[in-house]
Parts: sequence; structure tokens; C-alpha cells
Amino acid sequence: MRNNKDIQRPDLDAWQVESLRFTLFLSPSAEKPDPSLWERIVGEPAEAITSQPKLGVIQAQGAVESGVLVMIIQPLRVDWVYNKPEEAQAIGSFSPSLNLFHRLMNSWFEVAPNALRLAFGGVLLIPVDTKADGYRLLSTLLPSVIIDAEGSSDFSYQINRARISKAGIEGLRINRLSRWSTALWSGSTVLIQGDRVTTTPSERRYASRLEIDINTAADFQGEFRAEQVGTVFSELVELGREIAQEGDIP
Amino acid sequence: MNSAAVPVHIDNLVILSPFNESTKVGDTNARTDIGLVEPSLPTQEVLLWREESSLNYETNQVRVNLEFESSTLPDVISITLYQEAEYLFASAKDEVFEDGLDSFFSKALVSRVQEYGDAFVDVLAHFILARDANEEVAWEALRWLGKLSDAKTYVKRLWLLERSLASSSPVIRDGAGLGLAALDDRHAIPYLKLAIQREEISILRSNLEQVLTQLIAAK
Repeated sequence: MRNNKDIQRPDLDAWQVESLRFTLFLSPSAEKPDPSLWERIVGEPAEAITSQPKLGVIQAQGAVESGVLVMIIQPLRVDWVYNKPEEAQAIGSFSPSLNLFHRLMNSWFEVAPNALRLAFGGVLLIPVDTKADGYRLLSTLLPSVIIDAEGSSDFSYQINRARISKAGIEGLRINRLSRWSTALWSGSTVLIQGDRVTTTPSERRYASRLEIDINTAADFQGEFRAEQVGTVFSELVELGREIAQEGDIP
Repeated sequence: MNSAAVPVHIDNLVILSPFNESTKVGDTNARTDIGLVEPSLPTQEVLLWREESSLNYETNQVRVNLEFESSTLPDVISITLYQEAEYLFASAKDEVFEDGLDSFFSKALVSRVQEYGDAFVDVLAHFILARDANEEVAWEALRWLGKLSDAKTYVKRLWLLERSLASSSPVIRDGAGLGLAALDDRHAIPYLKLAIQREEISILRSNLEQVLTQLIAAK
């Protein structure tokens, strides 16, 4: 039986990116973002732009390198999500995926609306052979948690370790929310015969999973002007990178 | 369900499990990030439910997240709450609203905001800002969003009122001004100033100026 201590903490780029997200909560004074900005940011037109007028939701999306970029404009917020393609397990390793996403977002910050709140999120995975391997890997990143890799299941650890921002904005606190677990994907074969659907389990895959949600605190009373959005986003990204590399540290 | 005469066989459909091995969707405050999906449906049911109109399973992946106070995951607009708001607004479109008086609509609105909290204010925001609501009813809703007493939805109601000042509808801008007057929060001052600068209708500009004067004098 392997001991949890036998496993080394993974390199940053061992993490595979399932998705990355930037969220901007619109200021009351913000102009409604224009989906045609997509072309300016990505360099080519969106593959699809869909609208749900009753909800005031517009979504633009298109393939960007090895992932799919989606811009979702809602009355309260704008989300940019860089997702894995549906047929793939991940976009790619963490650093190049993040660098690309950050570069794309920097192009948007030049024209971004004023914001009340900002967030950087992501879902990262390291494929493992078994659930116990996943737990052993997580134990290298969670120094304050003892995981019984062989004798436990359903492990999920979530914590917010807030910090004061170093962006020079008075009173700005940043939530560093991370959730650690071992995920199971179970493939199934579905047979549809008339009204009857039968599902047969087949493939099973495990991965250590980290979800990060690094965001400015909701109680911040100020606004982020367009020129501050990029600065704060860079800080959020660095904090996310630190969690993926160093694990759960204060 | 699929009504094709011949059986359809799909290999390797990947049903995304919840984030750990056996957590199931639906029993708690689970939500998904794909939009209009009732959060209480279990994952598998959601997938099968969507099969009715499409065999493109690859678009049917549903990710489940649990809500936490500092999370910024995308909000899901619950179909149930949206339908409830839709019904509420539709029922009120022939009602006559008078300043200073309760209405059937206002009582129902207040009770739903107090019951469902921010989730219902989110639905109202989509409804009012997307201009999907009857303007007179939206006017009444905005007034009461300022008047009602409910600390847990205060920040979101304030945001919606401030945001509504930029609506292209003068009726909604007027309702927002009345709501902000009732809320009496100086936070709205810069947004009122901006709205006054932009306002082209003199009576409405004058009303907003009165609200601004009141807020400047507020402690």
C-alpha cells in the first residue's frame, strides 16, 4: 500500500484545464456590452451568436485554439468562459491555456464596462488511475487535511481563504475559494427504443479536481473602472495560479 | 422521448457525474451552469429530458455546483421562478396602481421577494431590464423594491433600481427613481446624477432631481 507521503506535489502544468472563466458584474452605470466586440477580441467573427430576448441574454461563441470561447451577456453580468471542446477531456495544460485566456481578456479590458465585482474561475484536473490515487495526490496539496486514501470516499474539501488585495484599491478584499475533490466520469451506453431508454454503465475515469473561484468581495462598495479591471484580473489570476501550484495555503 | 421507428444506438455517451463520486444533484441547493434548467432535476433526468428534442448529447453535459456565499458561479434562472414572475406580471397588467397604496400585485411581489430572496430579484432583473415586462407593472415593481423591508436582498434591489435608471423606458426610469427615493441610500447619488444628465424628459428630470436632493440630505 502506498503512503500519501510517497507522492510529490504535482507541477503546475500537470493540471489540465477543463474551463476558465472571467466574470464581470456590471456597474449600474455600465453600458450594455456589445457582442460584436467578439471579433475585435478574438480576431475573427463568432461562430454563433444566440439571443434570448425575454431573458435579456446574448451569447457568442467560437473555437479558439484547442478550446471553445463563450461570451455570455446577461443583465447583471458578463461571463467569458473558455471551455474544453465537448469531445475532449481538457483544453490543455494550465499555463498555456491560462496565458491564452489572459491575453484574450486583456484585449477586452480596453473596452470593458465599469464593474462592481470581478471573478476569475477555473476547473482543473489531473487524471489518475483510481480514486485512492486521486486522494493521495490531493493530500500533497492540502497540508491541513488528512485523507484516508484507501478507507474513505466522497471526499470534498472547500475553503475560502480571503486576502487583502495588493492592487492598491482601498478596502478591497479578495475571496480565494477553492474546492478539492476526486471526480468520477462514468460513461454509459444509451439505447433508445421507441419510448424506452436503457442506460448501461461502461467506462469509468478518475481525476483529482480543483475548482477555483477567485473574486472580489461582494461587500466592496466601490466600482472598478475599465482601467482597473485588467489590474485586478491579473491579481486574481496570480492567486489562482498560486493555489494550483502551492495548494491550500493561508 | 425519441419517436424514431428504428432503435437508435449511441456509444460512449458521457454523463458528467457530480463533482465527487456519489453526490447526487437535486437534493440540496444544487444548480447547473447551462441556463434554463430547473435545479431540482437530477442530472440523469435532465439529460434524458433534453433527449426529447435532440440527439446531440454532447451539448447536454450538465455540471453541478453547490452554492456558497463567496461563489460567483453563473446564476441559474429557475424556470419555476421565471414562470411565477411572468404570471405575477401578467395578472397585474389590468390593475390600477396608486402611489401610497398597496396593490394585489405589490403584496404578492413583496411576499415572493421575502420568500425566494435574491433569486427572485435576479428574475425580476432579467424581466425588467430585458423589457419583457409590462411597463406599468414594472413601474409598480420598482417602487415596491425600494419600499419593502428585507435586509437579505437589499444590495441586489439597490443594484436593480440603480441599473433601471439607465433603462430606455421613461416609465421604468421613473419607477426606479421612486424606488430609490423609498430606499433613501446615498449609494445611488452618482447614478442619479448620471441619469439626470442624460434625461431628456423635463418632468422626469425634475422628479429625479428631487430624489437626488433627498438623498444628498440623507444621513
